[in-house]
Amino acid sequence: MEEKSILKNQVLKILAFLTLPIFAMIIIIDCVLIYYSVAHPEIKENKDFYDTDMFIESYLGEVERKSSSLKDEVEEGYFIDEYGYWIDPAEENDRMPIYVQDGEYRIYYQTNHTKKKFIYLLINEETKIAYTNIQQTAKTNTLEKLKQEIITNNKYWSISNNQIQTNIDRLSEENIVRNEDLQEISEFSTNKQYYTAFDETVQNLDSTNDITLSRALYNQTQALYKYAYSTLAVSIILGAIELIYLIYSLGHVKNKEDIYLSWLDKIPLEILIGAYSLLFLVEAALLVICFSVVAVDVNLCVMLIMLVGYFSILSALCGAGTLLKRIKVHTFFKNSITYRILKWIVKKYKNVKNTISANKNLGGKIALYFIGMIAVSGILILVFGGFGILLDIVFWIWCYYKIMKEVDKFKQIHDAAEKIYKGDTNIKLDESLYTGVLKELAVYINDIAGGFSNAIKESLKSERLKTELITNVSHDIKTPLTSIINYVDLLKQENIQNEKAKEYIEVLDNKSQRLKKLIEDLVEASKASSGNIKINKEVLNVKELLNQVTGEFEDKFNGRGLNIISKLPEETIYIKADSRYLYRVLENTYSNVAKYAEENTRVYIDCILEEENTVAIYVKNISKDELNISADELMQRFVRGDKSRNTEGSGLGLSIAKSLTELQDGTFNIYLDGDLFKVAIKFKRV
Amino acid sequence: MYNILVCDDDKEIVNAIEIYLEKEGYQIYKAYNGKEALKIIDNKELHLVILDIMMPELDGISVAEKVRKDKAIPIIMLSAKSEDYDKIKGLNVGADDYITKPFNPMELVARVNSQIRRYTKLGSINQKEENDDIYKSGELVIDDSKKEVTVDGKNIKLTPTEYNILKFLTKNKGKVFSISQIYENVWEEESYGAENIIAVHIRHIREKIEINPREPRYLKVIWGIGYKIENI
Repeated sequence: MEEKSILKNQVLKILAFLTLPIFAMIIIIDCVLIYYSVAHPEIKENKDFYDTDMFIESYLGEVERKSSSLKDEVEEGYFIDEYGYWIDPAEENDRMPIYVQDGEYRIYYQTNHTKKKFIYLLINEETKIAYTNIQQTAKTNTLEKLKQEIITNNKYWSISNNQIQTNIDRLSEENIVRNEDLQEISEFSTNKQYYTAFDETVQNLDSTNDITLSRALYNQTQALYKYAYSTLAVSIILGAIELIYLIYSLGHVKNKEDIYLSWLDKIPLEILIGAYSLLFLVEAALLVICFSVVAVDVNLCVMLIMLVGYFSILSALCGAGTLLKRIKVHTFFKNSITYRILKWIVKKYKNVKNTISANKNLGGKIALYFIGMIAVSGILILVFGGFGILLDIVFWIWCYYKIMKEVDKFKQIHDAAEKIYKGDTNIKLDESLYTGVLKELAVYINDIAGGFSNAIKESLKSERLKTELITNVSHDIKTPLTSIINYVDLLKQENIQNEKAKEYIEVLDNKSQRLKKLIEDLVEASKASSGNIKINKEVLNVKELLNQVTGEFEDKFNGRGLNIISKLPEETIYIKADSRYLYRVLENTYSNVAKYAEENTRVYIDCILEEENTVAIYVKNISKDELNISADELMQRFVRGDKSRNTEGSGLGLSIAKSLTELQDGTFNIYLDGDLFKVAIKFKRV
Repeated sequence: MYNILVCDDDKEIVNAIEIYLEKEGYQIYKAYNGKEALKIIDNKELHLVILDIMMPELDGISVAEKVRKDKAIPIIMLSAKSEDYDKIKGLNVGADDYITKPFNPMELVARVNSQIRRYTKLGSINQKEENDDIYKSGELVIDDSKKEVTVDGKNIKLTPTEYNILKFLTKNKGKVFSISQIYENVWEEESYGAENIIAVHIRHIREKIEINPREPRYLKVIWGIGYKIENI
C-alpha cells in the first residue's frame, strides 16, 4: 500500500517530471565542459585566449572557411550579401552590394549594416575586383584605406602569392604550421591579395565566425570546469532515481486501479511520431537561433539554450512516457493507424468471406468458387510458366481432395437422414465438423432426430402414465365395489318376501359383478396395449391347448346349443408363446363366440399349417345379430357388435386378445362376411 | 371358539366380513389401521388375521412382517392390488393366503375355514401313519380303500371317471400329463379324438375340489402342455 501511494502521489510525480530535464541538461553541459577541458589542457593553465592553440586553430580555420567561400564567388562570378545569401549579378541587380571605383579596381562592400568581428579584404588582381565585409565609409573608400583598416588591428593576417604578413606571432611565415588549410589558402592567394583581421572591440552580433564561439567556450569552460565533476555525479544519481521513479509510477493515478490513459496516449502512433518529429524540428531550429546569440552574450545564449533544451527534454519525456505506457498496456501497435487499417481490411475480408459462405444461392456460390479456382490456376501458369503447369496439377488434385471431403460430409448427413427415415432417431451429427450450408443441414437433421426421439419417448411415457393411472384408479374403485358386492350378497341371504325387492337385488348383483369384470378388463387392456406386460415365451403344443380350451368352454357352448366342430391336424404342432396370455387370447375369443353366436348353430375351430411355417387358428361362427360394423372397429376398445350394449361384457375382450397376440409376435385378425364371424390367430411354427 | 382379527381401513368391508364370519361361529376383533392391529395381536390370543395391504399409519405388509417375527398365526392378505408382483410380495413376507378385492364372500369364508383347520387341527393328522391306499397333496386326501376324497376335511362327491383321473394325477403328483397320456393311463386304451372329454372332466373335478376354480390350488392347468396335481 505504501509503495502504491508513493506511485500515485501526483505532487511528487510532477516535481520529478519538472526537475528531471534540469538534471539532464546539467549532465549534458557537464559532459561538454569535461570534454572541452580534457581536449584543451590550455584551459586549466589559465592562459589568455589569444595565446592559445584554440585561437590559432580557429583563426586559421576561419580564414580557410572564408577563403573557400570567396573562391566560389571569384570563380563563379556571384556575390554574397551580409546574411550569406547568394546574389546573381545578371538577374538581381537591385540586391547587388554597393561598390566604389578606386582607379581600375572596383571594391564591393558586401556588408553595410553591421560591423563584423572577423573582417577581410580580397583583391583579385586578374579581374581588378575587391571583396570586403568592411562597411563603406569615407575612411574605407580606397584599397589603401581598407588595407590600413585591417593592418591597424592588433590581430591581422594576410597572404598574397603565398607570402604571409601578420602581427600574430604564431601564424607568421616562420612559425605557422603547414597544414592542408594553409595549402588551400596559399593556392587561392595566387594573383590575389587576401587580408583578414579579428577586431576584438566590435560588440555586434556576429555568428559568422568560429573565433567568437571558441572564445566563449574557452572562457566559460575555464570558469566552470572545476564544478563539473561533482555536479555531474549528483545529477546522474538524482536524475536516475527520478527516471526510475517516473517509469514505475507511469500511469498510476489516485483512486484508479488500472493504468490511466490520458488524451496523449490515445493519439495514434503515427500521428504522435509525426507530431514529435515536427516538434523536434522546431526545437532544433530554436536551438540554432539560440546558438547565434553566443557572439553577443554568451550568458544569454546559454540561458536561452537551457530554456529551449529544458522544454525539449520535457516534451521528449512526455513522448517517451506515452510510448512506455502503450507498451505497459499492450496498445503500442494496436493504437496505430496502420493497425486499424489492417484490422479494417481483415474485417472486410472476413465479411466478404462470410457473405460468400452465408449465401443461400448455392449455384452462385459454387460458380464463385469455380471462378476462383480457374483464376488461381491461370495465375499459376502466368507467373510460373512451365513449372506452373506442374503446380496446377498439384492445385487441381488439392481442389479435388477438398471437394471430395465436402462430398463425404454430405454423404454422412445423407446417411443420418436415411437412418431417421428408417426409424432410428438416436442420431447426433457433430455440427462442428461442417461449414456453411452443410452445417445448417446438420443442425436441421439433429433437430429433427431429437424431435422424433423426444416424441417417441413422450408417447411411451404418456402411455405408461395412462396405464399407471388406470391401475391406480382401479384400486380405488375396487374397495367400494367390494362393499357393494358383499352387502348385495348379504341382502340376498336376508329372507326378503317382497318379490320386487328380490328382483332389484338380482339386478344389483348382476351389475356389480359386471362392474368387477369391467375393471379387471380395463386394467388388462391398458397393460396389453401399452406393452406393460412381461412375456415369458415357451414352446407350446397347439393341439393340446385347443383341446384344453375347448374342454373349458364345452359346457358354456352346450348351454346355448352351440355345436363345436374341431378340425386339428394329425401331426403335433408347436409354437412359441406365453401359455397364460395365449390362453387369455383364446378365452376371450371363445367367450365372444359363446356370447354372440346364434343359438343352435355350429362353431368351427380349425388349426391349419399354412405356407412359410405359419400356424393359423380359425374360429368361425354365425353371429346372432346383424354385423353392421367393420372388423377394425370391432377390435377397438369398448366396441361391441350390438350397439345397444345390452349384453354382458366390457367390449374390451377382442381388443385385449389382439394386443396380447401381438405382444407374443403373433397376428390377430377378424374377418366379417355377412353373418359369418371369423377370427384368425397366426403364429410362427417352431 | 376361535378368534379372528379383521383389519381394513374401510369400515363397511370389516363389518361385512364380521357378519359372514360370525355366522360361522368365530369371535371377531376389528381394527382400522396397522397400529391398532398390532395392539390387538399383542394383547389377544388370535387364531387368524385378515389384513388389508393399503392402510394408513402402518401398511399390511409391515404388520405381517412384524407378526412373523415371533408368531405363527395364519395371515390372509386382502387387497385391491391384483398384480402377480403384489401377490408374490405378500406371500413372501409371511402371509399364508392372498385374496384380491372384490372377493366372493363364500370364497373368503372357505379360505378362512381352511386356514383355521390347518392351524388348529390338521397338524395332528400329519402324525397319522401313512396308509398305502391313501394319496394326498396338502389338504387333498384320496382314500382309495374307501373310494373317498376329502379337501380341508370336507367330503367331495366325484363320478367314477373323475375319481380315476384325480387318483391317477394325485398318485403322480407334481408330474404333468397331456390329455392323451391321461386317457391312455385311465382308460388303458389308445385315445381317438376323445381329448375334449378329458378337458371337460378335469374342469368338473376342479370345480368340485377347488375353492376358486379360476385360481386352482391343487389341480393346475398347464396350457398347451397338460395337467398336474400340485405337490404340496
